[in-house]
Amino acid sequence: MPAPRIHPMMPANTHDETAEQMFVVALKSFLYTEMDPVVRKLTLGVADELGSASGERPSLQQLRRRLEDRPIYQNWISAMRSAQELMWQAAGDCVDRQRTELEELERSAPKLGTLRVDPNFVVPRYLAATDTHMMPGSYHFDAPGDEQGVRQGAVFDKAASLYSLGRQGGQMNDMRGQTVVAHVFEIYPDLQPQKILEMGCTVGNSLVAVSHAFPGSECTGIDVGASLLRYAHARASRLGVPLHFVQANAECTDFPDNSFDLVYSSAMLHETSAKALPRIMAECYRVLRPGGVMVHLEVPFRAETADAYDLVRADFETRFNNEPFWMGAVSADYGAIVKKAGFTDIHAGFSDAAFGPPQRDKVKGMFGNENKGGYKSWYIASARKPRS
Amino acid sequence: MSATVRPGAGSASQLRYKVHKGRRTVPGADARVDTLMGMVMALMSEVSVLRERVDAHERLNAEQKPVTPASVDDFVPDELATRARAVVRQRMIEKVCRPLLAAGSTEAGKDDDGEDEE
Repeated sequence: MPAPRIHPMMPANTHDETAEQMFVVALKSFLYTEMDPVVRKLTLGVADELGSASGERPSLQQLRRRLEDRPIYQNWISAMRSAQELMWQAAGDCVDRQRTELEELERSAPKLGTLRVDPNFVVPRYLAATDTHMMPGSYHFDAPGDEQGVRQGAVFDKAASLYSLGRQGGQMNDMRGQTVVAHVFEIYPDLQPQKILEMGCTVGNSLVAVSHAFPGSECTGIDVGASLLRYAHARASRLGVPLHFVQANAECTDFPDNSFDLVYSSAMLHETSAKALPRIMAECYRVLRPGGVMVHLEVPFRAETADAYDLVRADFETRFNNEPFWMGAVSADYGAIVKKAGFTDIHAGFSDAAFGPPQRDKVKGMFGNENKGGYKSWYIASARKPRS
Repeated sequence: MSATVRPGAGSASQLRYKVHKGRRTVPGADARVDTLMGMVMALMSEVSVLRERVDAHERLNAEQKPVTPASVDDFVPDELATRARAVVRQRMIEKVCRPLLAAGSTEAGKDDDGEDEE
C-alpha cells in the first residue's frame, strides 16, 4: 500500500518521493543546526571587530562588506539556497507526476463554498518581480491552461509542509491560523465574527483553522494565483469546510465597505512592499465594519532588537530566498502605520504559538513582549476600527 | 530510478516551473562554486533515494515478498526501518558536508583569536 495522504488533496508520495522529501528535510535541519552556528560565530566575531573600531553597532551594510569575501559565508548562501531549490524540485516533481489525478480530485470535490478567479487579474509588481521563497512560478504563475488546474497550490502545500519541518502545525500547517485565533480570543474577547477575511491565504491552511474556531462564520480568503486558489478551494471542500476564495490584491479588493468583522493575514506582510503596506492597512480599514478587528501575524523577529547574526540571517531571506520586503516588514513601525490608517485599540508584540485549536479560557498571557523565537512565538500587530 | 516516469522538460511554458526567477549571484564568489554546490546537493539527494530503494529491496526480499518496480514504489517502511533510514541519511549528509563545516569552523575561529583552530 502506498503512504496515506495527510488530507484528501495533499499530493501522495511514491516510495522514492518520500525518500527525496525526507532527504530535503534532513539536509535543511543539518544546515540549520550545524552550519548556522558556524556562520553565527563568524558574524559575531566580525561585528565585535567593527564595533570595537567604531564604538557603534555595525550596520548590515558594514557586515555585508566584511562577510562577502569570506568563503564560509558564500558557501552558506549556496548550501542553504540549494536545499531550498531541491525542496521545490522535489515537491514539483511529485505534483507533476500526479497532476491529472489531482485535477480530477478538484473537479469531483464536494461543491462547498465558492471560487472566483479573474482572468484579467494583474499581479502586484513586488510579487511578479521575483519568485518568492525561490518557488518556481511563485504564487501566481500558471502556464497557459494550468489556471484551470491546481499545480501551484499543490506544490505550495506539499513544500510548505516540508519547509517548516513540521513545526507549523504538522502537515496541516495551521499553527499560524490557530495563533491568530488565540490572539482574537485573548485581546478581543467580545468579538464574535460572522464574516472573516484572510489576505494572502495561499492554500487556505490558516483559514480552515479560523473557520473551525468561529462556527457559523462566513470565511473568505484572497490571494493572487488562480491555480493556488483552485487548490485551496478543493482542499477546504474535501475537508468538509465551506470557504470562499477570491483572486484579489490585498491593496484594492472589490469587497464593499464595512463588510467584514475580522480581517487578518498570516505571514503575508513581508511578501509585500513599503508602498503596499499602508495601502493594505487602509484597505483593511475600508472593508471592516465599525468595531471590527484587524490582525496581522508576522515572523517573530524585530530589526531593532536583532543581533548582528539575526540581521545577516534576515538579509539571507531578503536577498537569497527572494523575500524582498522581509527586512522592511520586521523594521516597520506598525503602531504608527496602523494609527495613521485610523485604527484604535492597537496592539503590537509577540504571541506564543498555538499548538492546536485554542480554548478561550486558556489564552491568558499568550500575548506580550516576550519573543520566544522561531515557531514558538509570532509577531502580531492588531487593532480595531472605531465603533463610530 | 523510480518505476514511475518522472516528468521531463515539456512545452516552453512548462519550463518556467524549473526556473527560479530573481535568483541572485552569491556576492564575491565564483559562480561556478554555487553551481557545483547545487549539483553536489542534488547528487546527494539522488544517492539518498537510491540507498532507500536498495533498502526497500532488501526488506522485501527478507520478507520473501515479490520485488517489482511497483512493489518498491508502494513500499512503506515501518517505524524501525524509518529510524534506520534516518541514521543512514544523517551519516551521509554529515560525511558529504564535513569539508564545508571544517573549512567554516577554521575560518570562523580566525575571528576569535586571529589563528586557525586546527
